[in-house]
Amino acid sequence: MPAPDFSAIFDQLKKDVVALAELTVKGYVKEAKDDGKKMLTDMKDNLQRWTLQLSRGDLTTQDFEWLVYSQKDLLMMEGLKQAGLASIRAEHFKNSVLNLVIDTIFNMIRI
Amino acid sequence: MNPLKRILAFALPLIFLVQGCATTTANFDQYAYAQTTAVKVEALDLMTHATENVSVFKDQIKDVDLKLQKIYEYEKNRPKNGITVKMWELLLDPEKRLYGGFIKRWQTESTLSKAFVEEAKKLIGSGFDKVAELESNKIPRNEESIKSFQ
Repeated sequence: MPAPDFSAIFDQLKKDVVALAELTVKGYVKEAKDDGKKMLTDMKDNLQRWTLQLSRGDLTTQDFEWLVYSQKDLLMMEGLKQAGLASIRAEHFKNSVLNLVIDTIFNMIRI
Repeated sequence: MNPLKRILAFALPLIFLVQGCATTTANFDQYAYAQTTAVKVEALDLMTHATENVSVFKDQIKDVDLKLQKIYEYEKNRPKNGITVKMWELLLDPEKRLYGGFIKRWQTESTLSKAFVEEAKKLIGSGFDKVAELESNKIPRNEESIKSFQ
């Protein structure tokens, strides 16, 4: 078996890891942005509806205040969820780098 | 050195280096996911009755509370699951305005208005969904699923 060209293997790995990192970050940023936008839209719709219900007397001021604070607690939950997703992405990335190392080496030495 | 030894000398340290970085999140857990979605349905169903006097629903409140405490304890004892535990704490805290706070308000005021209950259900349902969404994104133990990730 001919000796493998380690510098070629390493150059290929560097390129692939960078591409993988870009893909991972790009996907995560888009997901986080979409979730954030959706939350803001929902919040705006909720506030409009609650204001109307308050003016009609369907909601009391205590109800209204409770719901607005609830929205704040929900935002905290969203923040935690995003932090969890970021951590999961990092874990996926780590596993993908491992597979990349193994696949690249096996491909280059034709195992 | 023969080629195989050279390959191992090159690849093994890399693999150990990457693997050595501690896992930061728990793996996906089917039981936790199923319990979260099931208890969400029961909690929202109970909330629907908050337009009636709370005294009639003492047993149901206790029953749902017990189920919530069970899932919370289960989550608390899973390794590297701190974020999910914090999410449950927010949902269940009677001083916050999510499920725990809703039940506290019902118990304090005896009955709540239909409009308020319907709005609160949407928000609290979304809180449960966030816990389930995070769980469903966790990495399965199955190595094939890891390999298929892009």
